[in-house]
Amino acid sequence: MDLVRKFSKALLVLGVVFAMVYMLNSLVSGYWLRVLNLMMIYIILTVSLNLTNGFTGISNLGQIGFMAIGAYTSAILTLSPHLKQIWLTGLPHGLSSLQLHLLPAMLIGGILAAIVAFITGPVFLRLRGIFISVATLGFLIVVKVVAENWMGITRGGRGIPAIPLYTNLWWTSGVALVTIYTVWRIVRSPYGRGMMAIREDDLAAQSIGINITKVKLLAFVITAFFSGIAGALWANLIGAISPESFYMWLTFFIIIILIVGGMGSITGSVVSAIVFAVFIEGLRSFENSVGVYGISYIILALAFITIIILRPAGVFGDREVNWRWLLNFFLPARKRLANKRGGDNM
Amino acid sequence: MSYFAYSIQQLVNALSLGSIYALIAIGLSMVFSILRLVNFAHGDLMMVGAYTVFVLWQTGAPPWVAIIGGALASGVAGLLMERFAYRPLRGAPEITTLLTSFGVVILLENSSILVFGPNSRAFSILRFSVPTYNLQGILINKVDVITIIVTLGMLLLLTIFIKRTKIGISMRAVADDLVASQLVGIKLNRVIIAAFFIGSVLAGIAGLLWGSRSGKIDPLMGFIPVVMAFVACVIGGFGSIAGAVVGGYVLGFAQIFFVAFLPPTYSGFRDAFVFVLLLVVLVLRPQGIVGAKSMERRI
Repeated sequence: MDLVRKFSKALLVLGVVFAMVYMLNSLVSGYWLRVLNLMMIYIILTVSLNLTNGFTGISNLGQIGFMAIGAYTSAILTLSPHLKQIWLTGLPHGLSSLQLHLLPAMLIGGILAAIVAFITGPVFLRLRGIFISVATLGFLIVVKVVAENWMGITRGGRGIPAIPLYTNLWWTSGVALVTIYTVWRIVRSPYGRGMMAIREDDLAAQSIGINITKVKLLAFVITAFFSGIAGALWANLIGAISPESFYMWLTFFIIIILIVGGMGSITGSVVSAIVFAVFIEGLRSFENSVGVYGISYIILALAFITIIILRPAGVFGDREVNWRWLLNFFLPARKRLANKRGGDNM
Repeated sequence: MSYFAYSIQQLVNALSLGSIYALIAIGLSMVFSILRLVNFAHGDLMMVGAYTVFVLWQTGAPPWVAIIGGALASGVAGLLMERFAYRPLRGAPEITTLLTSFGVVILLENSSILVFGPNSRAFSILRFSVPTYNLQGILINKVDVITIIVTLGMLLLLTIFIKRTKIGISMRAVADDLVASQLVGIKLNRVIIAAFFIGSVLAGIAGLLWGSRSGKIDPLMGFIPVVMAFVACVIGGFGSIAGAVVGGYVLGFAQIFFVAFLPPTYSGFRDAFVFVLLLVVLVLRPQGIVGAKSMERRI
């Protein structure tokens, strides 16, 4: 009975998402379609970052470096062989005549990012607190420097243009769903509970038999994998990448989305990413209409600082947004109490 | 040019770069030792200082007025930052304040882009008609000499301040043990304000020197130096002023010698090399070269 209910619930969600994507695809076009795609990519990035920063308590600032790895991999794999032979002269022969479609390129990009995370992770994860932040920020800078200087493979600072535009809303929303589902399942598995235990007190977690190195590494590698995939989607959405695309601004953006949504709340990340994507576009058009360039970032930064001061745990904290929460939010206070009694809010 | 002359020139160059890193790192380290706050916006105080000097100098003020004005402006900017961004967050987790400082970075850099435009400006207040000394074939840049002398002077003043004045001593006490220092009646806010102000003034001076060194200033000029100064702090031992200075010079030397004595094809990878160095230090000697006394576990 329970299984049937779960299954029908999942089908319902899938059906609703399918219908929405179908509708949006036929109703929306051009600019707003791109905004929707970016929104989905922000969701992928934020939800996966939540696994390390929110649930495990590793303050990872190098996520966008892993995204860059995925983006460059996918760009190289999907670029037409003709252009590759002109621009990317350092590629090995097998690669320069190869052209893959989005799915294999994306998966290879994600796996490559995950492998890099697997190799570098043990070094980063030995560190604590802010030292992880600095080391992973260093990783981001290293990736950018390598992308700028490895001329034969990345075309240096000029970047790679003319990447085939394979990404569409089906891909981005599909991957976003998979990301949300995967992170949600991990968080509710023994591994996920281990992650939260590590976040609260790593010594205590270790003493009850959690292999903290393994669990931390798992979170780090999964975040890197989904970030790599997000990078591949980004590259094939925008059609051009350069080392600057995957650097500080994007890192700031994703961190802002995560903090505002609440570290440790998957739905918080999703809602926050959706709001952010619309908000930043609104700000941009406001900036264009006012003609004062840079004002959108200033407003963004002020909003971020205000939110972090007023609600340090983000808008949603570590609560999930669900029907009960929504009902409670809209019901008058008298009825809220009655509603609060029954079950947890999973 | 002889190999000897080349080496001496690179030595001076490294000393000058290390001096700037040390100046920035001191401010970071002082604030961190008291508040456990990693202030990435510290680099933007360099930008504030350098732009103030630039504007004052353009409007025709004498150079010394411009320079003092720049240092004071960045000191005041540091105080404002503390009052409005970090004081409301006192007691929050380190990560929260670190990310807030990123917000401050976005705010300051974009405000500067808004006011001065995104392009870099030529910055030549410390460039003279004869920019170099020639000592029997060894060419030494005047800006480098000034940088080294100014830094040494600042270090001397700072040491006297920290060791001899009342507020300096209370600063060390707070860094050593926050609760006990409160119990003996040290006014925490006064100490924090002093630390921010001194660190910010040093950052402003560093901005002036950095701008003179590269000959130009731009709104994003503070970011890479502050990250490097942070690395310097970690290498030297975070939370100790001596560590910050040692780390700054070590980093300056490492960077210059990496570029100067390796084949030019590698020089683009300089910043990558710095972070490999950082990781090596973090793994092998996590407390840093000097090591801070009151340091929590990093590993």
